[in-house]
Amino acid sequence: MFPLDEQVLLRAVEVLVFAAPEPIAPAELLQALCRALELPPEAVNAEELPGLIARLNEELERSGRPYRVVESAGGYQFAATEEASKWLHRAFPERARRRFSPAALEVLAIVAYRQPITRAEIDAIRGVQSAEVVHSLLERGLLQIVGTAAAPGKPPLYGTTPLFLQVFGLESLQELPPLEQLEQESQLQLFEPEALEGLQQQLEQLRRLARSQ
Amino acid sequence: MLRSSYTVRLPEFEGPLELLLFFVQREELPIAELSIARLVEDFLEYVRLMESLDLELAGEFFVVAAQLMLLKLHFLLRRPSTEGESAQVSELSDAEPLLERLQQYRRFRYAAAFLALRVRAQPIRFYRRAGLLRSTVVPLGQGSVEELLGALRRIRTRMGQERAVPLPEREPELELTEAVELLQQELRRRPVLRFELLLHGRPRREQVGLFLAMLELVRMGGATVEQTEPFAEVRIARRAAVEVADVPLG
Repeated sequence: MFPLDEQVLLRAVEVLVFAAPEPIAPAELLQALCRALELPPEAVNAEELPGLIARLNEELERSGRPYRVVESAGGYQFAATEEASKWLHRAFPERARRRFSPAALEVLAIVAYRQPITRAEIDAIRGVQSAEVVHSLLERGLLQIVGTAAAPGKPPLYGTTPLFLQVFGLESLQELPPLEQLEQESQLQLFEPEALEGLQQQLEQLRRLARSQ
Repeated sequence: MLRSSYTVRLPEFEGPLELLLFFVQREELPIAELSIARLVEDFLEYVRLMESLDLELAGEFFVVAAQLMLLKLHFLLRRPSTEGESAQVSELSDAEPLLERLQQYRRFRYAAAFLALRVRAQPIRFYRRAGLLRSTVVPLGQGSVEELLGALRRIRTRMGQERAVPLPEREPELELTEAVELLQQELRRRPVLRFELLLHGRPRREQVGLFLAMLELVRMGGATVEQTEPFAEVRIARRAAVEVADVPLG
């Protein structure tokens, strides 16, 4: 290890994470750190980074700060502690809403597994138009345009964002279980039992209504 | 007509595949063991019900309904020559493309259920999202489409609901009748026009209007259009039809 002042290292790591608009990947953080402190590239070992982050968090905890550096969505970023998150949740309940319509979850699932993908391809899998859903997911920052397809009209290709990973608690897309395995998961249901029953009853009602006409 | 106040909740299906999936799920059988004929019947019954009650159905339902009817026809034509097990097999091979689509859709439905489970299991945690970097002005020409869209989104969020983004001023529209008139005037002056020259220097909306007017004029029999190959020049020629017949040739 270089004779580096740990305090300086910690402060530099802290401000770099603080300044990053998105989770900053470990490799990017290391490079930025070396540039920031005018060190030769790779002067700080990749293995040292988790230790530095841990020490930074110890400091934050000792001084009672309500936030920590966490690794999420493939990079480091600041997050409120769980307790502080509860306060924020109460103060701004609308910002913590993470409700997804069944259609939105379908589109997210399709894009997550098949990205990059065009809207026409999403529509084909779902058997129904998805323009509005895709648009609202773009607005919510869960999908992004990652390029254009080499098809007539150059349609945009969609992919998921780091925010998507974060919201669904995934480190990376590799953490998604293989698509073919999912139907064996017993806790996953295509229709909630009540929904299945409700739909059945509604169909019966329709039949009666048609007969009474 | 319904006289008594009687509310019916309509079953809501996102699309034809979800409806099919519902029928499959109701049977509690693996897709391979399903009676395709039964599935077809269930689906068509639903479409008929909705139609007989004058309830709107998305176009996609009718596309699948047509495919299913074709499938049914195949079964009917095949049935006499085969029986028992082999009937089941031929049913399946006919239905294969549709079943494959259904199987694929079902997998993604499971994936959606997985995501739903994940999101519910996540403790609510607040992350810092605004950084200090990249907050400087991006020189024009360097911003990607996503960055521009992102910027627009942030501005709109900041402005809130009460102040909408002002729309760019619209170019005046060219009414179709006006455009037809204009095109006829031009044709009176010269019997053959090059469409591109006509469009030259006009705002986009007028160009669109003139294009529609050209189609309209052809439909009315007032002109003929010629284009020798795709993307080649378009020539419009006057035809002595009702609207232009009384104009002296010049």
